[in-house]
Amino acid sequence: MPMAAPENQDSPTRAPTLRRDWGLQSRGASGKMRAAPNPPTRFPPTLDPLVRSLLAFLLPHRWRPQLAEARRLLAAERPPRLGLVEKLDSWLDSPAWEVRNAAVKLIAHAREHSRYLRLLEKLTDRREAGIVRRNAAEGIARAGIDTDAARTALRRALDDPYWEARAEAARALAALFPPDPRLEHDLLGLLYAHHRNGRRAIAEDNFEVRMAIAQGLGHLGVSPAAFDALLELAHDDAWPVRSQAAVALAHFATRHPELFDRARRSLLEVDRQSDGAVSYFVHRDVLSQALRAIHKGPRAADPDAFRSIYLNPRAGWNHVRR
Amino acid sequence: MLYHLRHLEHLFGPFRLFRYLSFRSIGAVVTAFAVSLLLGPLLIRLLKRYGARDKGRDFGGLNVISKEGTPTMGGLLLLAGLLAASLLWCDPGNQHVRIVLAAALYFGSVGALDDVLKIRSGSNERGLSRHWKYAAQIAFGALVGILFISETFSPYHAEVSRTLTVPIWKHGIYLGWGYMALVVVFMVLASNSVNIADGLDGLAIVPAMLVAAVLGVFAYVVGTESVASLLQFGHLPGSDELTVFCCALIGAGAGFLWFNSHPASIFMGDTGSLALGGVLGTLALLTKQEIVFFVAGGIFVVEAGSSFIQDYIGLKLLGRRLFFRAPYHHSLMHQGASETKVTTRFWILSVIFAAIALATLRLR
Repeated sequence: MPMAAPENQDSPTRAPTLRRDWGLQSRGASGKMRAAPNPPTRFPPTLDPLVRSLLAFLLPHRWRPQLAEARRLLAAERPPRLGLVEKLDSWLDSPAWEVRNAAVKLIAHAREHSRYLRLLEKLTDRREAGIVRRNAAEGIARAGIDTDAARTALRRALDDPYWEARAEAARALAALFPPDPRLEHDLLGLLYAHHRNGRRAIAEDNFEVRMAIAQGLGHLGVSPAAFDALLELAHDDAWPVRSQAAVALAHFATRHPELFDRARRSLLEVDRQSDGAVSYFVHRDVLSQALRAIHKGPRAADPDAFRSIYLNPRAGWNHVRR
Repeated sequence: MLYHLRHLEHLFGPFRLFRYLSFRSIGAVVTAFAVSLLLGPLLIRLLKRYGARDKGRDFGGLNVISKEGTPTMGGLLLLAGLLAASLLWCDPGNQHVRIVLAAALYFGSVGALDDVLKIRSGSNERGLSRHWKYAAQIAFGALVGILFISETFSPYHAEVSRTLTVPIWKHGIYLGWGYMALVVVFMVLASNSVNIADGLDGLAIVPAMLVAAVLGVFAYVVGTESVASLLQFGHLPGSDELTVFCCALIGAGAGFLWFNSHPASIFMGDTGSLALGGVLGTLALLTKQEIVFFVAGGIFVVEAGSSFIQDYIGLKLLGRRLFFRAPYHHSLMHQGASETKVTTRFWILSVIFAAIALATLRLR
């Protein structure tokens, strides 16, 4: 199967591309990029996050005003820029993870370019609270940060021990980048484990992550391996994964019309049974939509509708308040 | 009220039936069920007319149907059936019955206030604040605790009142004044656990009915001297009357379930869930079966426990989810199970927990 050509950078349907040099990385005397130094810690590095979160848990009154202010800024459609950077710097180092979380969301919400690097740092800092890492991934997608540094950080986040961060990183990659064999390889690596006998099996036991992988493969996949993985996910035990894989197959098939017949046959064989009446009807509707999209041909399923969710400032963060 | 007809058996022989606990218990079940059934449609219409509808909350689940608009405050139906049957069939002079009726009215009022505030504000998150709810629960717990500790007003002998009964073990743990603290904590846990479990159609009411059934059996055992000595329980005079009350609760619950089964025509709201929790907690204290309550109400323990672990340990302390969602029924639905399947499985587990609790009757 020929590799899909990368999307046109100037296509009007792509998320807005940002200039790579935001001035947020300092340049040393040699002119090479230097990452921002880690903030100093009061306690030993391994204990520091635990002690700080324990203190924040026991003394909530010390950071509630900051959290309230951060949430107020998040609720504003256009947060005021005056003093915003200083506040973000202070909040990003707060001992309370809720304040750091709000700061991460605010960076994306306010499109504060100078602090995008901190967003990437939060995503890859495994000592950081899981929800903060998750929202850092979503923030990167919302802000449309499609640089090499962001791609590297999101690829690293695919190995995150917290399932929501892994899932969000996969979704962010799919939202930001065009079909890419390296990204496809990373997603397949997240999904499968290879045993000594050469056989492979699905290793990702979290259904939310499998859904995100299916979504990602639908948008980023270029090779038959991605298509085969989607076919396998379309027969997953969990009906939400089957539904997502069905949609992803439709998206994949729009880029590879030669796979229409195979995708359609597979979707017709997908198990419409599920664990309950409600999910059965939802699942059946998703399959019907995917089949209709395939029947209509290329461009019927619009992958940019997925990306547009991140561009909508009113869209809720991961559907919950945090 | 009907209890006093036993004095007229010389006029009409069958009136002697009102002496018997079994007869009055069955009467209570049927009466409570009938009252709930008759009042149900009327109450639903009234609640709809006055805009007492559920506002719904987004828990971020994948598999959630919106229940917004369903009439809430169905706890009034529960309380109506319960009060009508209790007043008709229980001995009104019995101190235990008065205490548990007071609990029903008190917690029902607190829950009703919470529901009214939510309805007026148009949001499920703007009812009575958590602190006020805790304060109300602690206040009632303190009152009941004082009752138990006080030598004058306690329904039992001081040594019995201040002892924590441990299932299987014949001798309890004497706590002295510390029993009051236990009562306060127990009431807060009991009322909140039922409140947390009330999340799906029929999810809280059936386990509550089963817990009431278990506590009714224990009330009969500890309240009847011959049975108590046979099964090696301490005799608690007067507590057998609570069997009739428990049967009234079961009947009211069945009548409520008639309308609350999926898809629900009415929700119990905090009016019902706080009242149920408060009543069951008080019943457990009055029958001195504190730990049995948590065995029989294992579903409530799972729901409240998962919620506590997710909120306080996972989210507040560690900054990450430990379960997909909490309480646990949300987690199951988030993974794709339908509402009816989750509810039915929880009912099955409730039956098993109730059976385990009843097994402790003979494991002495």
